[in-house]
Amino acid sequence: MTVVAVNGWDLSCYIMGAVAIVGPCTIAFWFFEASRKQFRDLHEAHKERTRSGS
Amino acid sequence: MFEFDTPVVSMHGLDWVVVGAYIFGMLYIGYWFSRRSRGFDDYFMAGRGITAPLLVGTLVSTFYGLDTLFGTSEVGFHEGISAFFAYSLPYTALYVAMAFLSPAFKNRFPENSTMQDIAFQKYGDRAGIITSVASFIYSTNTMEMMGIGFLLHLVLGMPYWMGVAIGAAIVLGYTLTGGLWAVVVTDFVQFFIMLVTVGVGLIVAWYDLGGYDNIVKGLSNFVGGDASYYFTPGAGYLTTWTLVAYSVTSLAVLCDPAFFQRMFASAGPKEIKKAFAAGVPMWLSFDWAVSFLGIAAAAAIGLGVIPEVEPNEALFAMLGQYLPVGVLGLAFVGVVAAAMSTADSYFLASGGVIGYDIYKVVRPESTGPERVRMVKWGIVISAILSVSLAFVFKRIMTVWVFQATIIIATALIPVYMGAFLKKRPKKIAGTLSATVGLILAVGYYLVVVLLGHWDEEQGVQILNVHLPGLGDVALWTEYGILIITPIVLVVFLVANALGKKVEPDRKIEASGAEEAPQEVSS
Repeated sequence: MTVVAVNGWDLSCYIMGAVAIVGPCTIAFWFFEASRKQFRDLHEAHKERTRSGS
Repeated sequence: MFEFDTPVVSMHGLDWVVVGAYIFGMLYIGYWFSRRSRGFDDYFMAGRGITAPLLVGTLVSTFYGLDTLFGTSEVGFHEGISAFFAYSLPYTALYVAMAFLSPAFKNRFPENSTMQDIAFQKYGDRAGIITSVASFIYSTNTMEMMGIGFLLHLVLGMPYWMGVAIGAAIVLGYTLTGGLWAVVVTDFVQFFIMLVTVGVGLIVAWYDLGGYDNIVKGLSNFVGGDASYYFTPGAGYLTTWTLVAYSVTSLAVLCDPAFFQRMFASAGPKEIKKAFAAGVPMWLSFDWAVSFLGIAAAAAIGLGVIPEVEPNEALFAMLGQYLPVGVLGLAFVGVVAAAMSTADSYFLASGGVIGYDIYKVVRPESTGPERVRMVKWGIVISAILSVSLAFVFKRIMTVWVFQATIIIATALIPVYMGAFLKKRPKKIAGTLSATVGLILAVGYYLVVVLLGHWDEEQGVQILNVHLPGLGDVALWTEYGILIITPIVLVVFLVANALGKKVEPDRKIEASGAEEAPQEVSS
């Protein structure tokens, strides 16, 4: 088994690289969740309007 | 596997499928929003409904273009981590400042559409028009057009002019049709692609090169001696004045027209605050990845992993070395995305200067659809100017320094004083300070460029002068911001102290139509 010495610079690069990958994925997830909630609220409001109108 | 030659990068057919899908996707988004756009606020301000996640994407990708991608990696290639600590951190500090300032702007000016609205509102038409001219010059997309031309030449070997024209045509296609919604959504896709590709590239390259120890060996081979300065912040050949010169341009973050357009188009102050809070780690990680890919490229040459390349080709050379077929196409798209996401935003911002800021003075009674039409004409004029100037300027960084000097010198003091002074500032203070700022910025730049010389070692334009009491002084174009901004501040304070009575604010309506200024109360 090869043991690779990892120092602070290595760790920083892997962490920053991971932030650059995970960050946009998280924000995309946040966007879709927010959109889903917005659509659900709009749908509820529409249903409410239809119910009170009938 | 794909072939990789320097300086021209070869891509596999699958990579081109990815590139084609990307271009089609961008144009389709523009078309999709064009069918749903209703009125000026919808087209230019995205209905003032941009939420935090979309804001993160558009803010990060708008401010990070090819200058960051190629410029920072080039500094990393030569200077090591100074690229991050000296060049990128000042920008990050100002993004943090904007996280607190932006909600305050949105609270104070909820109906505004542009930064220039503040000048119109506080100081009247003259100051408004002068800051609009500065915004237009700043928003001209010459840098990104040059970058796209350079990139397409690198990958396809096509003539520079053709690359510039193709890049401009694609960005124009979706910006003209879809307005701010199309720009924001495409920015979000582009933000995702550019960050993920540099993140993957950094991790894979750093690991494959054997981590820090092996990279230091590679760097020693590359420089032919001690390479420890690569990992010392502020080391390398960067002098204190070089660092100051690099960092002062970051003040443009505080008065960037595209930033202001987004903060006014947001769904609310809380959304902006959340967006900046989430955006700062994204900016940091992108800067870090790009700087360290530059370092890794220098080490890879030293280790014989990649052949000798030009410093500004280092980043793409590394991505080309380590990314597989298809993903390389995505990386190319990520690089193009960095340019496009910046270009579309500034095309729209400069179109707004003509179609909204200036046109509302020329025809105050103009309707929303009329203004949309004029904004589109403004976008076309800006595109023609950007493409033309791409053949005038020789270096990308000289364009950036010129544009940053113009906007900082003209807009920073009047806009912030107008927005945050407790006692309403006087009309003459804003008008005079903006005028002096614009004239001095253009004059200083012309004098240094026409009478000075290009210093290859420092990579800057310098004018050597003898000043009484100071002796021989080397004036760089970058120092314009340091010299002119304090003068503008003094002009503002003196004019504000001595000027006549204050006029009431001009009212800005959400629809973009505007009320005439009220009578001066004496």
